[in-house]
Amino acid sequence: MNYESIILHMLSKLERERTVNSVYHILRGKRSAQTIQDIHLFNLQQFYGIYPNLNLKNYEEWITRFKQNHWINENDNMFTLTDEGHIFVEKQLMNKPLKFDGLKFHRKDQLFLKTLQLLCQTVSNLIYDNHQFIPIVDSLPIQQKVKKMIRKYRENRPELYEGLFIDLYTIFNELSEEPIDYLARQLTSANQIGLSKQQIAELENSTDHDIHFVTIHLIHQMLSIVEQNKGKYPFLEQLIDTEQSRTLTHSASITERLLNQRKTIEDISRIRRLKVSTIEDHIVEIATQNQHFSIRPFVDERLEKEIIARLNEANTARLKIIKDMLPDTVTYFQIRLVLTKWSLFSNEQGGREDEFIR
Amino acid sequence: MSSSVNLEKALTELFGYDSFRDGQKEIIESVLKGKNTLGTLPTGSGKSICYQLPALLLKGVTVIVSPLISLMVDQVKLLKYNGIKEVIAINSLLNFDEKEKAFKQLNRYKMIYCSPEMLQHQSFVTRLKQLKISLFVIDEAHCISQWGHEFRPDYLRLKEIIQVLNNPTVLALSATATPDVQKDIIKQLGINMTSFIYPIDRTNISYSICHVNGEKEKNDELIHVLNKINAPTMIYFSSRRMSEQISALLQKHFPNRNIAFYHGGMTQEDRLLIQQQFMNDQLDIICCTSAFGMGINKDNIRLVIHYHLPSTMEAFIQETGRGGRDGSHSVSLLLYSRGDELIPSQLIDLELPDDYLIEQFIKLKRNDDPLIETMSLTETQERFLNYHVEKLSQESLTIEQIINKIKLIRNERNHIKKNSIYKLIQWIEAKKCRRVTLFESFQKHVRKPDYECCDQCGFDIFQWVYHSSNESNYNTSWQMILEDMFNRRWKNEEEKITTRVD
Ligand SMILES: [Zn+2]
Repeated sequence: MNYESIILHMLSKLERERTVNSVYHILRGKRSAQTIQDIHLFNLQQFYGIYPNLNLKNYEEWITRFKQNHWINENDNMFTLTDEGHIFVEKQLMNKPLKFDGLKFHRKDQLFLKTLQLLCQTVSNLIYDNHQFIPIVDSLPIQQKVKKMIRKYRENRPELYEGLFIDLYTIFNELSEEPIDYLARQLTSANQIGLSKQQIAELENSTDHDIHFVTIHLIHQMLSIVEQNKGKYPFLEQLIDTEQSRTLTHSASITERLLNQRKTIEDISRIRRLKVSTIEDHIVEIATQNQHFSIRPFVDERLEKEIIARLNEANTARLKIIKDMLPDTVTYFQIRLVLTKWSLFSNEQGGREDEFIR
Repeated sequence: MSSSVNLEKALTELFGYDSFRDGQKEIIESVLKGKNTLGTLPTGSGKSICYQLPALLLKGVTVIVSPLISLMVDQVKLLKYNGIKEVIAINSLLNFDEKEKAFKQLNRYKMIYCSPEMLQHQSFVTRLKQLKISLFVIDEAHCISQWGHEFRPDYLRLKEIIQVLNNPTVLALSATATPDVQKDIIKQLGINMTSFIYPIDRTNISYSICHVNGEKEKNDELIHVLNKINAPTMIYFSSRRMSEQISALLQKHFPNRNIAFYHGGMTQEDRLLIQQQFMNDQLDIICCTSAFGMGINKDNIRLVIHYHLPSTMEAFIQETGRGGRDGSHSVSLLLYSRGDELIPSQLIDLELPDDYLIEQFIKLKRNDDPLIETMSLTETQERFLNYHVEKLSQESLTIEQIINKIKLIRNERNHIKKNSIYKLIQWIEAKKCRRVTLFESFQKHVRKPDYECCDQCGFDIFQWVYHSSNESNYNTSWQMILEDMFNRRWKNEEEKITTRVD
C-alpha cells in the first residue's frame, strides 16, 4: 500500500465535482457540513479522518507530484484523472481492496494504538520485574486507563500477561498476510523502545506517510476483527473506547459550559467578546461530538423536519442550494446543525446514508 | 546524630545516589537552615537535587519556577520515575479543566513546577497563597538578568510574587551565570542571599575546533571523524531541516549504526520514542536541535559535535556539558566554516518583533482590537511585547513614545546577543587554550583537565581511540517482538501458540 494509490483513488471519485482539497479535508476528518456531505455523496466514508495530522504543505506536494507524473490535470479549480492516473489506481488496488473504516474508527484508532502501546510497555516491564520506567505515551487519560486495567488484574497478573499475549499473537497471526511487522515494531517492550514511523520508513525504503496509512489500515482491521468476534479477544476489547471520544477545542468547551448555564448565543458572544458566528461554530462542534446534545434551542422540530426534507430532495451537496430551497429566515447555522445531528444519527444507526443522498 | 548523616541517608533512600556531588550538600544545608541561597553548579552535576531533596524534607510546599515547559515536564517525569508522585507541572499545556482540577488539588503536592507566566494568573497565585510555601526555587536564574543570555522579562516579577507568598526561603540556581549576572540576580530579587559559586568548567571534556571551508568540506570532516570514532554521539544543528538531511547522509555512510534525528517540529509521540531510544542505548548517533537534551540524563555520551555555531557561549557550555556525565572522558568538536555566524545572527533578528510588528501590536492593543489575536507572533515575541507595553503604560507616554521606547529596548537586547556571538567567534579564532578562554569569564581559576585539554594544547581528535562495545540486535518480526515483550523466549513452542478454540 502506498499513499499515491489511496489519494489517487479518492481523487478519482471526486473528479469534475470537487476541488483537490476536498480529499485533504476528508483525510483530516474535518467536521464541516461540506466534508460530511461529501463522504456520503461520493462514497468515501472509509477514508474519513484516517490522517488527522496531515499538513497542507505535504498534501500540496503530493498533488504537484501527481501533476508531474501526468496522473491528474487541473484547470479552473476543476481536476480530472488522466488515463495513466486511472490505470495506476486500478493496477495498484486491483487485488487488494482497501479495508479502512474511517467513519467508524477515526479518533478511536489513534486512541486504541496509544493505549495498546502503553499497555504493552507496562505489562512487559512488569513481566521483567521492572517497576520504574518512563511511559512512552504522555496523555493522562490513556495513562489512567492503563493504570485502571493493571489494577483490575492486581490479584491475578499472569491472567493479564497471558491473555494479552494470546490476544496479540492470535490477531497478528490472523493478519499475517498484511505487513503486521510494521505495527509490531511500533510497540515498546522492557528491553526495546518501539520505532517511530519515520524510522520504519527508513528501514523499509518507504515514506512515513505510507507507514502511517499501513498502520491505520492494520488498526482498522484489528478493530473490526475484535468487534466482530465479541469475547474472542477479551483484552483487546477492553482497549477500545466505547464512548464517542470527546475532544472539544478549549474554546468550544468554554462555550459549552456557558450553554449549560442557559446562556443564549448572544449572551455568550457578549461575555466572550467573540463573533456570533464563532459561537455558532462552537455549537456545531459540540453537536458533532456529543450525540445527546439537543439542537432544539436553535432549531424547532418543524424546521428540523423541513430541512431534512429539503436535504433529501436536493440532489446536491451544496449548502447554498439547500439554503435557497428554504425560507430566507432559515440560517446556514440551522442547516449545519441539523446536518450534523443527522449524520451522527445515521452513523450510529448504520445504513441510513442512502436515504440522505437520494 | 548529625544532620549530615541524615541528608546522605535521605539521598540514598529517595533518589538512590550513594553520595553528594560537589556543592549539592552545602546548598541543601543552607536552604534547610532557611537561608536565601544562590547556587551555580555545572550542567550535569545534579542541580535539581539541590531543591528536590529539601522539598521532600521540608514541611510545606516547594514552588519551582522553570522557564521551559519541556524542561519541567521532563523533571516531573523523572521524579515520578523515581517513585516520587506528589509533583505536578502547571503550564500552558494543561487545558482549562485540567488546570481547574490541579488548582483544586494543589495541596496534595510537595513540588509544584510552574512557568513564570503562570505566576501572572491571579487565580493561581491566590491558590498558592492558601498553601504553606516553604521553598521558592528559581531554576535557570540567569533569566532574571538583562546581562544573561536568556533574559526573560517575566522573571523580573518574581520579586513581587515572593513577597505575596509571604517570603518563603528562596533558592536561585544557574549553570551559566557570570559574576555580573550573579550580582544582578541578587539585586533584582532584592533580598540577602548566601552564594555558593562552584566552578562550571568540566574537567573530563576535551575541546576541539575544526576549521573547514563550506558545507561539503564540513560533511566530509564529519564523516571522517565518525568513521574513526564509534561512540554514543550527539550532533547539534541550528536548523531542523539540516538535522534531517545530515541524519540521512550519515545513515547512508554508516548503514550499521543506528542514527536518528530529533527536533521540535516532530510529533510529541515521535519525540518521546527517539528520546527513550537514545537513553536506552538503541541509538549511536542523534542529530538534533537545541530542543533535545533538556532533562536527558544519559550519562555515557562520549562525543558532542556542533555542526552549526551555537548562539552563545552559555548554550555551547550547556550542550557540550551533556557529554560525559558519568565522569569518563568526553570530547567536544565544533565544526566551523567562515560565515557560520550568519545563521545565529539571523535567528536573533527573528526572535524579537521587528518594527512593523511592534507598531501593529501597540496600535491594536490601545484600541483593545480583537484582531490582535490574528497577528502571528511567536511566544517569545508576545511575551516581550506584553511585558514592556504593560510596564510602559504606567508612565504617561504617547503611542509614538511607547513604540520608540520598545524599539530601543529591542535593539539593545539584540545588541547584547550579537555581542555574544562575536565573543564566540573571538574564542574560535583565538590561538589560546580553548578551556581557559571558554571559562575565564565565568570563574577566576580554570581547573586542570582530567584528560587531554584541547586542540590548542595538543589534543588531536583523530588520535583519540574509542570503540563502543554496543552491538545491538533488533527484533524485527512480530513473533520475535512479542516473544521478547512477554518474555516467552524459553518456553516451548507448543505452549506458545495456544490460540483459543472458537
Ligand atoms: Zn587547552
